[in-house]
Amino acid sequence: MSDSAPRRGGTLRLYGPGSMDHLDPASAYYALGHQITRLFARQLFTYPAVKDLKDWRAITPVPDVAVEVPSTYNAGLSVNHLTYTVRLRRGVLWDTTPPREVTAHDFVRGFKRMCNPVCGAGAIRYFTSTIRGLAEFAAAYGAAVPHADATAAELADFQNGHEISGIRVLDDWTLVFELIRPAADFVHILAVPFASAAPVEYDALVPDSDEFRREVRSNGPYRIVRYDHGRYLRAERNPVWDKAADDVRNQHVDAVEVVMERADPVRVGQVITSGGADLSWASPVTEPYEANPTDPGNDLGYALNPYLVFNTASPNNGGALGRPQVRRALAWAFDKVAVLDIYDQLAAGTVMRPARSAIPPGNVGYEPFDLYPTPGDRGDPERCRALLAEAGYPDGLTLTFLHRDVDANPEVAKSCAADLERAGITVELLPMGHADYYAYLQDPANAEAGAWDLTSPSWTPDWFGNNGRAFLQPMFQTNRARGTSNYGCYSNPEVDELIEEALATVDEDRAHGIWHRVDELVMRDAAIVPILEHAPTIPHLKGSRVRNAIPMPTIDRWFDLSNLWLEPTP
Amino acid sequence: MAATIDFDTSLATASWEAIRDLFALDPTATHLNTGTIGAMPHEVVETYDRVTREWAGSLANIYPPSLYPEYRAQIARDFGVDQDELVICHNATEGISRIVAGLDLGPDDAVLTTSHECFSVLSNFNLAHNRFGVRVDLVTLPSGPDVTSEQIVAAFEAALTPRTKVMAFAATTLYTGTRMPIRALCDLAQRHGVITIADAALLPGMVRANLREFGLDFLAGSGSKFQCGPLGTGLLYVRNKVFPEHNPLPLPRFWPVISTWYPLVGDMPKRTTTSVETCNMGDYLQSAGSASIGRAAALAKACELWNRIGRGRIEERALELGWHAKRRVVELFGESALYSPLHDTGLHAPVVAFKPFRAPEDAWNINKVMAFVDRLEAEHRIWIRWVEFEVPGSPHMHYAARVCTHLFNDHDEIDRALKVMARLADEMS
Repeated sequence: MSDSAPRRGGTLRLYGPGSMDHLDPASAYYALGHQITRLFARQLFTYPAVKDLKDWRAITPVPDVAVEVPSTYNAGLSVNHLTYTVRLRRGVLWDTTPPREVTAHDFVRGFKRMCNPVCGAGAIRYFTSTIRGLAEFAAAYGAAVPHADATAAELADFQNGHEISGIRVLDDWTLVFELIRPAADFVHILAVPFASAAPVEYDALVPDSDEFRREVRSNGPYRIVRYDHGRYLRAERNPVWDKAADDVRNQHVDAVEVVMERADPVRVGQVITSGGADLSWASPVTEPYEANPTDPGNDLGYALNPYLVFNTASPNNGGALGRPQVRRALAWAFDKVAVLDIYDQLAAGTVMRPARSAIPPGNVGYEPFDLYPTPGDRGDPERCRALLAEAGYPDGLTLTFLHRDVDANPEVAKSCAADLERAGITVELLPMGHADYYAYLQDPANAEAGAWDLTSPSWTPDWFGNNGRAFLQPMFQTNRARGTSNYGCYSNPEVDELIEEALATVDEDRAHGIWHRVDELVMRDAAIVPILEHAPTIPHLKGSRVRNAIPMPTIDRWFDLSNLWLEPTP
Repeated sequence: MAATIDFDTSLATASWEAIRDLFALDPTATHLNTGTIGAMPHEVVETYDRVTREWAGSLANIYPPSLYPEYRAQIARDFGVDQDELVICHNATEGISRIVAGLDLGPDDAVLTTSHECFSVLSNFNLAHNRFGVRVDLVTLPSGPDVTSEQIVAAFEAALTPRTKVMAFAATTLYTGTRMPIRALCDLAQRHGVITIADAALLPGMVRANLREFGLDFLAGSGSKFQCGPLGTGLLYVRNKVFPEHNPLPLPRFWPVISTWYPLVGDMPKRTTTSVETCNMGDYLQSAGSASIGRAAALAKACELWNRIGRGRIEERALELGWHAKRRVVELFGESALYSPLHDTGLHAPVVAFKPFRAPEDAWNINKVMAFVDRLEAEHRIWIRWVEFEVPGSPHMHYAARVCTHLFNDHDEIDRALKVMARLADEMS
């Protein structure tokens, strides 16, 4: 299928069982959904769609609403690397009535909103550990508005009455960020969708509420015209978007429509090949291939998919999962190759291997090690049983295994549950729809209530290259705020301290060593059990009309919907 | 156009108005940015052009003259050193690079320098850090009218550690225009057996300088700023003899990186432990393939011109104009506006950094100071520059207007320019 010249028109249709976790960019943290976020919410910097994953430009941020990437040579980066001056381009418009330019104030509002206590950013630590005054702002916000059912007025009052000392607006088109310490990955952090601009209209909306979803505004090429969480989404051309003010996106198709419904990968594949849809929405449905897949990303950072998270805050079993020796015992039980076989049967089209560390290969801090080696990665339930007995649980445990009810997830959960049962543990499976799963995990109240004991999410790094923090900080640094990505409420002061130490050094070799020590610590604590590591691509199935579909590493190799186009159906 | 008067016999007593005519200045512009680039005298331009033409199409052996033996010897005398200690390089950045790359620095060593150094110093030390594991310790220099030499020396002394192998500092900082107490800093370093490096980009041509008497081990300076030579010229000083009265420490181990003449087999001659040269380090460093004879000739011409005017006279003039500018800044903007030293006259240089705007927060508003400088150029044809630097205890980067005065400026011009700046700053405040 050769690419043609860009063609305008048509409705791009996605179909499958997935869901966005949140529509609000302040809290949306599921790569699948970032295909959509990219269409309507712009950041200061973003990633271009580059076909060859070996091309360094595919993982290098470029200006989005910013005019240029700050450097010492354009007076954007101070000599001590603590001050970033970011100038905004003109002509980026909100689809408001009347249309209004995106300003520096909108970005400040975006940074404040990501600290909101109702539905905050899952990787807030990227920001609080980097930008001066943001941690204090977030703490004060949480203290002033301590309830999750806050009104929009309460939230707006706090946000508009308090400033983040390290983010200054010099004028409508210039933002200054003052950092706590030099951060070579800062432009990557500013490219994470949490750091989207937010219009003043959001002051009247509770973050990611139903009302927000109805009123969400766009400064990108498309705007959301209908959103039924977990069921349906339609985005149409944003009439005020101007290509002249957007170097990375286009507006080839008329509309993007996502039908979210329960379907297995086979069904999703059938719908696409029969012309009923153009792309998969979540299901790993691949183009046919004969040879075993190779890694097209040149060892670009692997993802953990899946990994098991223990709920360390669970009161169940007398709080057993809060004890490292119990988690360590459980870590021996799992047959990782059995899970690999499940994915193999799906023809996932990617390089997969049993995972042994929290940081998988290709990411900063990765060093091969295995604290729980079993022959052939097949697991050792007997050792698990014995160690559980040593830990004071000779009669095993009863654990609630929360899992998504789509794609390979039920099979994975069953496989892991069988491993545990072989070790004398009773497992109750708790399936949950894709639409609710991550939002549920991101609420620590559910963990604290013991609603689940272990679960099997996945994690892909938010950026590549200098990305030592992109696994460990969101997944393991203490964070019990709503929106957290430390789903199991793991907390170890030594880990927290080492993460800060790694962030404090600009010496990449030293940082690598510290990130690896953190990896060893969290694995010693068995905060998680890595199951599989995935290479950074799969050859997603594309409908016959689709052209120029470019997978983006930073959204888990899903496509850049803003740059593809559709050929007429023959 | 070249000056037509024969100044040869009269430059030592010529008026400053007449001397101003020696320079290729735009009469409609006010040049207060010698810290970035000086104004070349017509004679220097002519020399560059003439020598370049002489070598154009020449089949003569280029390599011996590319060592610039006469030019180096001449310029070395101006700076109180010998030909074997002086190299004509391309700029201070290259000089600093070759110094840092030529030292034996390893993971057990630390370099002590300041956050007020030029990028070229900090980038080269960071390169050494990444390459060899050397630790780079930074002190942030105090700034403002009350700064004293003692404070500066104390800041360095407090930051010295047993690992410190090198102290590196500007001769005159390019941000706040602080003429550093070089001799006192070298005394401190020598007491601790520490190698000294000065980034003297602003020094040649600004003040008389006897590099040997400073007690430094290394110095890199620009030929195109206060010395008013051609762009792409610099001076590199490498201490190559031991004069105990100036620096009793043995010569540091040094590798002449970028050298055609470094032995193909074996080592260089042993370096001396006395005041008698045993190894011409200058030649090893100067020998780097073919070179622009015109560039070196023009720099030598600029230095020769300085001698004819009188380096002492130039120093006096430059510092007096700087002091004048500083007093005017105090009158027009207030003493608290100064980032440059005021009361310790030993720290004075003809480089004055100040905050033009009244509101304190404007001191960390890069846009405002950039607009100020841009408007001075566009609306008034006054050329200065803005600078950025850390201030101890402040979480912000500070941005200042920087005025550099030199021998070709005059009091009226400075007064006029600063009044314009005051009016513009008022308007922008």
